[in-house]
Amino acid sequence: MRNSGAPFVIEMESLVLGYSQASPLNEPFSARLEGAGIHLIVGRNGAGKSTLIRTLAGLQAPLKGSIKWKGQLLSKASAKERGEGMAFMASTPPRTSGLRVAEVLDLMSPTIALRDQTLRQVGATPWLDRRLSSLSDGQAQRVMLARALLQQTPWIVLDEPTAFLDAPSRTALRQTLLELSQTGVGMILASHDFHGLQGRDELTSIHALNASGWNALDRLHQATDWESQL
Amino acid sequence: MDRGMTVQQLFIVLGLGIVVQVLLHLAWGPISIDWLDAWSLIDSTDSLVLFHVRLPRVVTAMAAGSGLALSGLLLQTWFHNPLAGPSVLGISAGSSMGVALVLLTGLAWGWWGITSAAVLGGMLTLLLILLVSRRFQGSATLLIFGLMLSYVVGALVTVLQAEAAQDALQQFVFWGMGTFGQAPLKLSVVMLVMVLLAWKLVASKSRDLDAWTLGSLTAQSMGVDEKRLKYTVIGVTGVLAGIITAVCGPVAFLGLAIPHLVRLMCSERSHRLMIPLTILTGAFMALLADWGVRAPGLDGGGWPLNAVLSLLGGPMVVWVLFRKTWNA
Repeated sequence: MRNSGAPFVIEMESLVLGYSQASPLNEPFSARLEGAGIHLIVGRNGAGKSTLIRTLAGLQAPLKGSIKWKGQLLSKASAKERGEGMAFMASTPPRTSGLRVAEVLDLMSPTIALRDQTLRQVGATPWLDRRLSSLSDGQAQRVMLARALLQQTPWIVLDEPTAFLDAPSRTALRQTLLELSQTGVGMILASHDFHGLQGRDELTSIHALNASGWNALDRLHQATDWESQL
Repeated sequence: MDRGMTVQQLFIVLGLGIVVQVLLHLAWGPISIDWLDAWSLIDSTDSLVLFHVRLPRVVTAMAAGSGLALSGLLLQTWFHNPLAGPSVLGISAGSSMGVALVLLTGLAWGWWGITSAAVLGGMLTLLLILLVSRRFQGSATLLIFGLMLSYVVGALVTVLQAEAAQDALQQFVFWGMGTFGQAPLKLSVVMLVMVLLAWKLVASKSRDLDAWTLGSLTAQSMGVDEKRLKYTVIGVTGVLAGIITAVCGPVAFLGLAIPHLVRLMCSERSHRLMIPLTILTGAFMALLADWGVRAPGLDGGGWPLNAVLSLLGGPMVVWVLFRKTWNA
């Protein structure tokens, strides 16, 4: 069903993240991400996970260094090219949109069949005619995940999508993400909440982000081992 | 969950309401026109009243109402803020500053000078707001900034007033009350054409604006060109609010209140429908408000426009504040 192609190679070169040159978040680091499945990025609050996610998606410029998609500089890509390469899911659902769920999804111009299939995948079918603003945070995040999937991009970046959800919604959404990771899409998931993900085969790679940069972690290790790396 | 009329019904009611009001506005006034005498409509007092007084007035009212309403909708969407509007954010104040500089310093620049100064003032204000709004966390900060901007600009205008000559001051005070009845026909038609052009431009951005309601980052990740959308919002809002302010004075409430009136009347929120509905409702309400201006004193001598609009608009804004969510 997906026609997005395999996840392309993402290269980070001497990357420094942050909002102001006066206070960079990390030492320069270089790294690459490739392949389908979930790439988990763990880090403490304030380590720059959200900033990294935005920077990888081209929604924010790095302080130093560069990012390449398929060997091409991301900074040179047009808004349209960015939208075709990577979908983005924020940590909170939109608060001020009056659109109905169907209208949100139709922004991606999917076929009815694809739309309904995607709604089933994320478990959001019953809410098609509801207003986004009338849904709970957990329900709205499922709709936003469906929207991101309908963008049919090789990559989806997720900025702590479960951060504001209650425990059952969090577990359910995480389960959905694990299932989706089997469909060939590449997902970059930033999270400080990685318990329940350790040892999972769906994790393609795990990285810790902190002030000294970026460390690859072993996915077979327990979450407590990751914690020591933060 | 959904209430109100269907969209088709609403379009029909607004369309008919506008046509009927235009005809009534043209027909009614202290001087009665002999509609059956075709000759008198071409040449005589009747034609003077019709083409130099009443027609420019209805065209101005429609252009101002729809232009300000469209600006309000754009600002509310762009800033994700239900209480945004050209007067709330200080854009109208910026335009007033431009007009004050021209009128009160005695520069005899005419309509075009005043209009350009108002457009420039409005756009500069909006640019300033866009520049600082990145640093704002909550939506209240933006509104307070707009309010403070209005105060500062208002103070500057007061200083100019204190220094101004008597007749220039009188002209400026009269302008400040707001009216649809001052523009010559040509200028009113120019305004209406500008609004129609803006409508066309903004309608082509419907999808981008819908996406923007999902959050600016999400929208950009969907391929929305932030800069292009931003310049559309600045351009359309600055030009429309600027021209309208120059011609009609700092018109209150229409920009803020009309989009909410549309949301009250119908359950659609997509910009594909919100844009035309907002424009038509703006024209309808401006024509309606003008009855309050014209009726008490008959053609021109009635209540000030801004008094009528504040009496109508104030309660509406309170109603917006009292609703739990602006999209409920």
